[in-house]
Amino acid sequence: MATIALRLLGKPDDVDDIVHDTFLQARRSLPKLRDPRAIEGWLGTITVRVTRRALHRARFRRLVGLGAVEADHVPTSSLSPDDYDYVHGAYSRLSTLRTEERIAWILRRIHGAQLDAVAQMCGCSLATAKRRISAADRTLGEVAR
Amino acid sequence: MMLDPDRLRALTTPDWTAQREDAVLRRLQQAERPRAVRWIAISAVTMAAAALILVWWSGVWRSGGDAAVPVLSLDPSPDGPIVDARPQVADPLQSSPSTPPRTAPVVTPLQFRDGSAVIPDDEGSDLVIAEAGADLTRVELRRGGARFDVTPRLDRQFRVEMGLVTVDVLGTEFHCLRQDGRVTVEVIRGRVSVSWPGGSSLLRRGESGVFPPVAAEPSPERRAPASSSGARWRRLARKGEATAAYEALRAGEAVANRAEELMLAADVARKAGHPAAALPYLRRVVEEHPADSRAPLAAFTIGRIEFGRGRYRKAAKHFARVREMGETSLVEHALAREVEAWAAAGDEARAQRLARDYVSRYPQGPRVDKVHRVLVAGDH
Repeated sequence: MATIALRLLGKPDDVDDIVHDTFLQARRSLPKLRDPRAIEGWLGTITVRVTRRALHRARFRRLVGLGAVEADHVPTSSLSPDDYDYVHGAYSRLSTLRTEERIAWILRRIHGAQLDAVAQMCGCSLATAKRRISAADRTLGEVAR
Repeated sequence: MMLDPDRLRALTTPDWTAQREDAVLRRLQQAERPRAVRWIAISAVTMAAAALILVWWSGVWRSGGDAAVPVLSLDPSPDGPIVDARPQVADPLQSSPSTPPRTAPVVTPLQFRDGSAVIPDDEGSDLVIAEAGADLTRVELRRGGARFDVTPRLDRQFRVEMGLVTVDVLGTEFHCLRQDGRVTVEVIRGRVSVSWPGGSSLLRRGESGVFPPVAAEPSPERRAPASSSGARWRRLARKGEATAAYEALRAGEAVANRAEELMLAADVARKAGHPAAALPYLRRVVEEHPADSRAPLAAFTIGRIEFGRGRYRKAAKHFARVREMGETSLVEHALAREVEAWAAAGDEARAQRLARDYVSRYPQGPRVDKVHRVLVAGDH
């Protein structure tokens, strides 16, 4: 959960909040879990849902001038200056994507999830997940060129 | 600058520490406390309302209702109800006082706490939860049809009763329809055991059947034994009065040598708090009806009872027996329980060997953590 949240958010200081909120929601929804073996994917889906809301809130705060203007990044003391710059640059570019495309792309390309798992976690069809990832690929490719 | 997913993956792995975990857990406890208080209040109000309804209900029955028919057992189990029967409780409130409560239509799905659900076909369908105990959930379909989506749980049986026909299930999805004195059962997922006086049948995914089969429909003569001395304990058992049913059994009432009847008698003994008394019935199912679809469950239940009595070797042997009976949904659990039983019996070598077998066959199995602990304990 923490890994998914960090990779989607790009901010370690919000990760604990996401884990907390995910557990709260999971506890409330636990009776709906039919197959205990599916708990990992189920928690992943809730994590993505909670993180998506956090991303939307952050974007809204930025729009109304309440949040930081700078792009999301991963400032952590454990990173070397070069790594920090790299991650900062990468998340600056990722912040130009639509939220749904950013989530799908990160889950697939960075987190390494299978396509069907991406679709499940995003709460969309397999075709939609593929479309979002392709769109993100195109956008990031164009930026790179 | 090109994005390198591998590099980003390596750089975005959180350093999750025990301190962070503790902090999240503390916050969770704080967040849950007010919620728990709120739920206690809601539960208290619900229970009070349910008590009022039952008092009113029993009054209606006494004044002319059919008191012999059990409609709803809210929570006969000390372990707490499996089922959330609130939709059923709400219906009689909505009906007029002159309407007999037991015929109030149940049009809303019955949602069980373990995720199981029963969805009536239409308002004409009449079904009631006759029992919602810790180890047995019993639903009576009196009229019409319903779809049953049952969550697999080894520690409880899910049974649907439709007159002479009974469907036993561990975890599956199926549809039942009562029509013209017969029952049509159609299995959507998993498999179910259908039984009727004089026979039983196993239906798998995609299969359906009409029961009792025409040739096997009991004649009045064959029904006669049901009203003889053995009828009382069975009637009490079906009403959920396990203690009274057990007393009737102890008084010498007969139990027919059929798997269905033997399993019911075993249920009665277990629910009355005498698990050891269930063993003879279960053993007869295993020994005398080994081909019956309930035989693996009987062997598994013997294993659980023996384990609970500290007879670990006997327990292990019965869990092994489940595996010998062929590939069923119980095999995985039986293997895990066998590992536990041999470990508890002190036979570490056998427990280790079976544990390795379990982990290799079911690396994602629900009991893999427990089995792993046996392996780790053996390594030390």
